[in-house]
Formats: sequence, structure tokens, C-alpha cells
Amino acid sequence: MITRRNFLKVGAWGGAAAGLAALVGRGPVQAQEPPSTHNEHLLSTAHGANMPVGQVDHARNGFTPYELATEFDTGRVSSLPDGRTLREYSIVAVDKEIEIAPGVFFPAWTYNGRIPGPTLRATEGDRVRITFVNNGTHPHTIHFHGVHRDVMDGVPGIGDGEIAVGGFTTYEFDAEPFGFHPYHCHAIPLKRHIHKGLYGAWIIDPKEGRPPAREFVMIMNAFDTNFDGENEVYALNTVAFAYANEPLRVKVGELVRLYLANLTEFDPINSFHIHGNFFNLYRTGTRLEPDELTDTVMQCQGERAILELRFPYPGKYMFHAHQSEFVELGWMSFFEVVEDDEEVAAPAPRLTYAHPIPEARGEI
Amino acid sequence: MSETTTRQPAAPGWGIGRVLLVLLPLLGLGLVIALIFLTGTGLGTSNLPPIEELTIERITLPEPGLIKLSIVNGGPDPVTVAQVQVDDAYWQFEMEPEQTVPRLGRATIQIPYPWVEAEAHAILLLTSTGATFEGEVPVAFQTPGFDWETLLRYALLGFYVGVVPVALGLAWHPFLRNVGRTGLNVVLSLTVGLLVFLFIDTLMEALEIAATLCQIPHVSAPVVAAKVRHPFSAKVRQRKQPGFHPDCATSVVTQTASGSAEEGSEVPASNCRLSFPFQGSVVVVVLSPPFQNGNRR
Repeated sequence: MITRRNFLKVGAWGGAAAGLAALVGRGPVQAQEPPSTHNEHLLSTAHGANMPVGQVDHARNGFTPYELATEFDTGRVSSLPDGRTLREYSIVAVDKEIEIAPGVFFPAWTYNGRIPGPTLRATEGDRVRITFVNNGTHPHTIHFHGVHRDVMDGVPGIGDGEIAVGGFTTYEFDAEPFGFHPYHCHAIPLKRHIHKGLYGAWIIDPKEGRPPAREFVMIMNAFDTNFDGENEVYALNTVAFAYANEPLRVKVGELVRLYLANLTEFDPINSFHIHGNFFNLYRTGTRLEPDELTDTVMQCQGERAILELRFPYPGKYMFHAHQSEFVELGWMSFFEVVEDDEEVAAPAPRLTYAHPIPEARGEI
Repeated sequence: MSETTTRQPAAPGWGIGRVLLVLLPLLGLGLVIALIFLTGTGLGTSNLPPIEELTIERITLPEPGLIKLSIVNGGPDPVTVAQVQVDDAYWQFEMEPEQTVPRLGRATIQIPYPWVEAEAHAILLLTSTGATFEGEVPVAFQTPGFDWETLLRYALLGFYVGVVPVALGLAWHPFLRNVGRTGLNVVLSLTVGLLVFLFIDTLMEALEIAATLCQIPHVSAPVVAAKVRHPFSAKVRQRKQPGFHPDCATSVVTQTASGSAEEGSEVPASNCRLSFPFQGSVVVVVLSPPFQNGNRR
């Protein structure tokens, strides 16, 4: 910027500086050397130095990433007079601080104290009754994707509308159509109620069922920790890098089924990409014939799909968003494909991680 | 009027009672201050969420593949740096002495990041509450260490700022000796005008810098004070001495030189605003502020 003072400086020093500067002789700094020794030993670790420092206290959160992916709530089952199956579920909205990355605590609004909320599961045609209690600090609802009457839609002003703090309601409808759907709070302001954590997975199995498979629920989500309208942390099922630290284990050759949905706020789309494999894609899960064989799928907010695949080879296979930014901000995961039946049952132990700084590893 | 004056009672003497009248309010004031310090004002703010205020003082690139930050906590509460992002990617880091920085505390962060020469990098500190603090390397260059070459640069800088202008000014001495009173007045007026302008301009800049610094109330003061101790102001006082000094031209050149030295601090700023030692050295020479790099959020 040229100010009067700068102009004076230039006037006085233009000539002198030109001559004397030659005395310094050398340019600023030499060209950059090859990447530092600091990085060499990282090559053997799961995701190099692009990992957070520390570990999330899952016990404090009250859930583990493995549970979030593998637990299904099929409700309390009984029979209606007409012979149909009735499934009853309970969902309570509670405020809860959740550790979404090591040491980073998000003041969340949750269904049943977890994000995503419980994965509800029913069979096509079942009668479904969900008792919803709002123990939070703001009015909430549950809006289920599906076919139902308007009063059961969980939106403000229709039916019971927004459920006041301390209030409750019952949502009741038939489970249809079969497929994989989201549910989420529809209180206003909508964007905030969703991004604070009020959403979950809702699976309706077809009457004839699906082939047996090892199943995982995968909700792509993100958190705007400083409330600036942009996400600081991206994840699969809330905890950044969770399945990179503790890979999901599957067995060679077995059918693996993924229920994948995008509940990310602020970013219009999210995506899923599998390494070393392809999957059959069933969009919204509403048909039994695959729509596509691919290794990457893109989803808008609220979009979802069922993915089926088999791993032919053992080993560790990455899966993550194909938006590199989301990967590096936490949406990065691993499958660990094993051949042993016993190994596959439990979640894998943490991948050993070498701290990038030698002093911290105690080597110097 | 004169009657009114004469009716006024004579000033009372300084008896014990009158001394008490003076002291009692002062004692009361002392008591109130003591109470406030001991028990607080009763306007407690404990219900408020913590206010986090971290300042990234300095970012250096000491070697390829390594970024170093020094940070200071200028907020009222301790701040825990939970994670670090470089260019929108979570990155491993090591923090000394620990990840929680107490009020007015300092810490350094080392990030083994493969920065790319001549390109820009953004650093973001994510605290335990999710608040973010940003730092920037506008154009990355390796920060030179302290070696003979650097020393030579500093010496050269001193030569530019301290020796050359004085020598040039003195070289004018024989000419100015014979320039006559009017001529001398012209030169002197020019000098004084420049001095005043530079002083005010410097002061304004100091205040601007102070505003970008760590938001601790007492930190900005030394910056301003340091600016006031600027060579310009010293010269101003010197030139206030009565009588004419034929070498007054020296001061003009000196000031211009000092201005140029400051310009030196801006040149590297466009290269790598926070890591080039040029800036540190120059500003230390000219300004000596405690937090000269400021927060570039």
C-alpha cells in the first residue's frame, strides 16, 4: 500500500537500496528439501499424520461406534387382533454433551442419548407405535420418512405438532414402504435441530426378507462446533475417524450389507467410496434388484441406500467420503477383512499408532 | 460584591475533625476496593459459558515438514486445544507444556506437516468446546535459523538504519553551514514537519497493531509506549533544543531510514507474514512490542 510515508521512504531509499541490496547476495531461502524425516515413519500407520491426537472416551459418551453400527431396535413385539404384528418403541429426547473427536465436546440434542438415535427396525406391513418423550430443553418432534397420515408426520402445527419440553406423544403408522429411511426432528429452526443430532435410521425389511448378511448402519454426519454454518468435524456415526481407529471386521466372502444415509447439515452432499471392491447399490432400499454396481455413491441430504458387497481378499480396506476434505476432517474408515470366524465377532482392537514426533514416542 | 466577599467566614483551621473529614471518604474508598478484591462485586458471571480467547503469536517453519506455533491465552478461562487442523485436515501435533493453556499462559505446538514452499497454509486450532482459532501462512518459506548469514543480514540492516543515514546527513554539514538563516529555516521546517507527521503516523500504526494483538487489556499499553520510544520521538525531543544545528538534515535522513526499516517489516510480511525473522528483528529494533506478530484471524 502506498501511503505518504511509504512514498517518502521510497524517495529517499530507492537508489541506496538498489545498490546495497546486492551486498546481501543470496535469495530468500533454498528450495525445499524432500519431505521431512518427520513423516517417514508415518507411512506404516493407518492414515499417516492425518489423524486426531488422543482417543475418544466411548464410555463417557455412553455408546461405542461399533454399537452404533450394529445394534437394531426391533421394538416390543405383540400381535394385533387382526393378526398383524405391533412393534412399540420408546424414544426420549435428551440434551447431552458428546465427544465427537478426541477432546472435542459437542453440546448435542439426542434421541436416547446417542447420535444417530436408535436404529428402529420393522417388517413391511407391521404396525409401529413410537412413544416420544421430550426431556430436552427445546420443543422437538420425530418426523419419519414413510407413508402415513399427516397427523403422524411429526411437523409443527399438524397433529400434536412440536412436543413441548416435558411433553410426550405417540406416533403410530404402518411400516411402509420397505427400504431404508431416516427419521429426524422437524421442529423449527429445522437446520439446527437436525445438526444438533436429532436423527436416526429406520429400516423396514421386505416381507420376504433379505439374504442373511453382516449388517452395519452408517449415518454420514458432521458437526459445526463453532456454529458458523460450516462443519468442523465429519464422521460416520458421529465420532471422527472412529472406524479408522477400530476397523469394522468382516469375513472373507460373506455378504456384507450397509445401510448408508446422509444426515449431514450445511454441506448439500456427502459420499461413500470403498477401496478394493465394488458394491451393489439399492437406492432407498425400496427394490430388491440392485440399481447399480459401483464403488462410489453420492447422496444428497436425507438420501440413503442399501449397499451389498463381498470381500474376496483378507486385509484392510479403506472406505470414506470421496470428498477429500471430509476424509481429512474425520469421515475416514476401515474394514478389516479376516478369515477366522472368532476374530470377526468382536470389534477390532485399535490400530497401533506411532506419534509423528520422535520425542513423544520416547525414542529420543 | 465586596460585601459578599467580606461576609465569607475565615478558613477553618486544620483540627482533628477536619482531617477526619478528609480521611473518612478515602478510608471508605479503600474499604470498598478491598471488599471488591476480597469478595467480588456480587455481579457473578459463573452462569456464562467459558469465554475462550487464544492468540496465535507466531508461526514458524523451522524445517521442511514441520510447522511451529506459539500461542497465548488472553481470555479469562483456561483453554484446551483439543485438535489441530492444517489446511482443513486434522493433523497430529505435540503441544508444550500441555494441551490446556491457563489464563495468560503460553504454549508451543509442533505439527509435522509437509508444507509446500511458496504456497499458502491455514492452521486452525479446535478447542475442547469446539471454538476455533485460525492462523495463516500466506506464503510458506523456511524460517532461517540463527547463523552467520542471518547475523550478517541484521548487521546490514543496522548499517542501513543507523550508519548510512547519519553519514549522509553529516555529509550535508559543510553545505548547510553556509546556507544562511533563511535556508536553514526552510530545511528545519521541513524536518520538523516530517518528524511530526512520522510521529503521528507511527503512533496510529502502533495503535492499529495493538488492536490486533492478544486481547489482554494491559498488553496493548507497552506497544504504544514502545512506539513512543521510537527513534523519531527521540529525535523530536533532541531537536527541541534551542538554536540551529546545521546537521538537522541528518534527522530527516534518519527518520526516512527508520521508516524504511519498518518497510522491511512489511516486505517479508508479504512473503511469510509470521515466520520471517526480518520482521521480528526490525520490529524489535524499532518498536520492541511484546506481541508484535498479532493475531491474524
